Amino acid sequence: MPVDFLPVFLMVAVVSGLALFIFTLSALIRTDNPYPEKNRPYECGVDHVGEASAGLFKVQYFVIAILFVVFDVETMFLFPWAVVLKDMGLFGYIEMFVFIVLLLVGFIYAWVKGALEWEF
Amino acid sequence: MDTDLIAASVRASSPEIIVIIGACAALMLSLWPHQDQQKYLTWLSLITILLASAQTLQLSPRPVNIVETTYSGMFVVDAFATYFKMLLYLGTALTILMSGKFLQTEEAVKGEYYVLLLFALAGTMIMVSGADLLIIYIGLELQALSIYVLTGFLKTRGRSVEAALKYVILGAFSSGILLYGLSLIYGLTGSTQLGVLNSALATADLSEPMLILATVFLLVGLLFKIGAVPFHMWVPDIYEGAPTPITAYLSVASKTAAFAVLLRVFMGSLIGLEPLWSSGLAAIAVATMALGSLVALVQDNIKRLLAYSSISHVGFLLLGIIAGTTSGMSAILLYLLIYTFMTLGLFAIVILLHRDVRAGEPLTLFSGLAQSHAGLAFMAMIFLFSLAGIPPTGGFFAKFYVLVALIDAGHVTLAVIAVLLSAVAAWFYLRLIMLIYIQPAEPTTGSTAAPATGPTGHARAAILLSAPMRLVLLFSFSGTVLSGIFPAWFLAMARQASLSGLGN
Amino acid sequence: MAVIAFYLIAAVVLVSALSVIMARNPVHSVLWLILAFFSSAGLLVLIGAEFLAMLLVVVYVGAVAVLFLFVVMMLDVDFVELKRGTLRYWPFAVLVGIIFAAEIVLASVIGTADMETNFDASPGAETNAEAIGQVMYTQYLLLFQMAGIILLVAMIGAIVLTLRHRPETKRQNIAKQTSRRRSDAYELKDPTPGQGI
Repeated sequence: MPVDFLPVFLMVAVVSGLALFIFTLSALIRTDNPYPEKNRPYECGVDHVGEASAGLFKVQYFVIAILFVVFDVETMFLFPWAVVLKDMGLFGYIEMFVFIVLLLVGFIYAWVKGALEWEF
Repeated sequence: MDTDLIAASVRASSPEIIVIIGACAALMLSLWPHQDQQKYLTWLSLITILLASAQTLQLSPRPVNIVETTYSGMFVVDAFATYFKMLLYLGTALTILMSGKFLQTEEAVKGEYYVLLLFALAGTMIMVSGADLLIIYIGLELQALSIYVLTGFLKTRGRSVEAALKYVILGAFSSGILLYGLSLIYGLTGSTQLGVLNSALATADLSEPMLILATVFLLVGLLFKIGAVPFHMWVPDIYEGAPTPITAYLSVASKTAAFAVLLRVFMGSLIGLEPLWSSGLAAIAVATMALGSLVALVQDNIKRLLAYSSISHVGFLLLGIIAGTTSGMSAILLYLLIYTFMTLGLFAIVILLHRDVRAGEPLTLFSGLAQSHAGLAFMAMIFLFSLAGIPPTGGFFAKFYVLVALIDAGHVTLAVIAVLLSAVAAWFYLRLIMLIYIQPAEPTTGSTAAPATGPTGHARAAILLSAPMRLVLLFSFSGTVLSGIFPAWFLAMARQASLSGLGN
Repeated sequence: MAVIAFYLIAAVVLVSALSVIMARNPVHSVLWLILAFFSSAGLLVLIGAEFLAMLLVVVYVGAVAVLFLFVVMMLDVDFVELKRGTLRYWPFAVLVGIIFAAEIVLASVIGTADMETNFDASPGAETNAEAIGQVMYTQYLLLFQMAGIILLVAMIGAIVLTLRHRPETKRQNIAKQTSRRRSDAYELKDPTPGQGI
C-alpha cells in the first residue's frame, strides 16, 4: 500500500529539497547587512504601536474566507463523484446538477448582494 | 440506482423539496429591491407552506399504519411524521405572520429572515421524517444553523448578538455530544438506521459500559436541544436575546421537532434500552418541572418568564415518555399541538405590546391591559389559563391526558408530584393575569416618556392590530379554546399518529 | 515500517496539538494547527484513506486555516491576558482530562475485544474515493443533498451577519457604466463668438 504513494513522497521530497536549495543558495550569494531599523515593519517612519491583530482587519476578509470554505467543501464533493460517474450514468449527472444549482443560488445571492465586492 | 426507487424517494420527500424550492425563490426575491418586498416575501413563504402541507396531506398514508420508507431506509413517511409536519407548518406559518410587525418596529426588515425560517422548517421536517440517526442529525444541524443566524438577526443589538453567540457555542457542544453517542451506537451495532438498531439492540447486553455511555450521550444531546434540566441554562438567555418571533419559533417548532426525534428514537428503536434511561429520565423530568416552575416565580422579564415556563412544560412532556405507552405518546402529541397554540398566542400578544429592544420586555408591559384593550386582555387571560392548565382550556386536557397515561402505567407518585408542581407553575401565570386585570398600569420608567393617557395613567401607545396579527390571534385563540371544548377529537388525531410512531 | 511511521506521525500530531494551546501568539497557534492537520492527513494515508487525507489538506489546511488566520487577526483580544485567566480552571481541565482518558481506556480494554483488526478503508473498490462515491451518491443521496443545503445556509448566514454596506462608499455600477451612451455624457453646443453659452 505505501508503495502506491511513492510518487507522492518523491514529489514532497523534491519540493522541499528545491525550497531548501533556493534558500541556501540565496543566503550564500546575497549581500547580507541587517540592522534593527531596517528589519522593522514599515510604518512611514513612525514607531509602530501595539499588535497587528488589534481589530484593524476588515470583516470582509471573513466573508471572503467563509465563501471560500463553502465552495472548497463543494469541490470536495465533486472528486468521488467524478470517480464513480461512469457507473451511475444520467442519474449521477442530474444529482450533481441539483447540488450545483443549490450552490449556484447561493453564489447569485452573494454576487448580487455585493459580498464579493471589496469596499474601501 | 433503480429509477422507480428514486422516483418514490423524490415523491416521498416532495414536501421538503417544495419548502426548499420556496426558500430559494424567496432568496432570489429578497435580492429584488421593492417597497412591498416584505409583503411579497410573506405571501411567498405562506404559499410555500400551504403547498407543502397540501402535499404532505396528500402523501399521508391511508390506512394510517402503513409506513413508507425511502432513500434506502433513511426517510420515512408515516402518520407520525405527517402529524408532526402539520404541527411544524402551523408553528412556522404563525411565526411568519407575527414577524412582519416586529421586524418593522426593529427596522430589521430583510428578506433573508423568511428564507432562513423556511430552511429551518425544512430542517425540522427532515428531523421528524428521519429514520436514520445521520439524517436526523443533519436535519437538526440545518435547523440549528438557520436559527443561530436568526437569533443574531438584530445585529446592531448587543443582546441579540450575545444570544446568538451563546447559542452557537452551546448548540455546537450539544451536537458534539449527540454525534459522539451516535458514533458509539454505530460502532456497537454497525448501523445508524433506526429499524436495524431496534432489532440489534433487542438482544444487547444492557450492562455493557459502552452501550450505557452511548445511550447517555444520545439522550443528553437531545435533552440539550429541548432544554431539560440540567441542560437548560442556555434557554433563558437565548429566549431573552433573540428577536421575539424567533423566541416563539424556538419554544414551539424547534422543541416540537426535537421531541419528535426523542419519541422516535427512544420510544421506537431504543425501547429495548428502556431500563437504562427510564429512571434517569424520570428524575430529569421532575427536576425540569421543579426548576422551571420555581425559578419562573422570580422573573421580571416576560421573555425570561416564558423561557422558564417552557422549561416546566418540557418537564411535563417528558413524563409522557416515561409512561412509555401509546397513550403516553398520544398525550405528548396532543400536548405539543395545544402548546403550539397557546404559546404562539401569548407571544403574539408580547409582540403587540413590544415597543423596542432597548425598553426590553418587563412584566409591567402587561399591567393594566384590561383597561385599555379588553379584548386582548381576555385573550391573554385564556392563553395564560391554558398554560397554567386550568380546566375549560386546552392546556388542562393536555396535562390531563399525560397524567392519565402516567397513572395507567403505574407511576402514581410521579403523577402526584407533577400535579403539585403544576400548581406552583399556575401561580406565576396567575400573577400575570393579576397584572393584566387588577394592577393599574405603572408609568413606564426609562427613556420612552410617552404621555400618560387618561386617568388610569398608563403610558401605552395605541396597539395597531394588523391583519396578519389578527389572523395569528384568531388561529391560536380558537385552537386553544376548541381543544378545550372538543379534546376527544384532537386526541383521536394524536392517537392515530402515535400508533404508527410506535409501530416500527 | 508502518508502525514506526505511525508513531512518528502521531508524535508530531500530539506535539503540534499541544503547541496550539501553548503558543503565546495566536498566529503561531494557527500555524501549529496547520502542522497538526498535515500530520493527521499523514495518519489517514497510513490506513489507506487517501481521499480523506486529501480532503483534510484541501479543506482544513487550504480553507479553514486561512479562515482561522483571518479571524485571529480580526479579534482584538489580548491572548496572553486571556490565558492567564484560564489557569484558574485547572481542576476542571484535569477532571475533563481524566474522564476522557477513562473513556479511551474503557474503549480499548472492553470495546475492541471482539473488533476486527483488519481494517479496509476502501471496501469493494480500488480507491478510497471510489468507495466513498459508491455509497454517497446512491445510498446516502439525501444526506449529500442536505449537505448542499447546509452549505447554502452557511453562505446566507455569513453574509447576513457580517455584510454591512456603508452608504457613503462609492461603488462601481458596471451596468450603468456599460449602458452609458455618448449622449448621456456630454452635449454639443454651438456658441456663436462673443455670446457665451
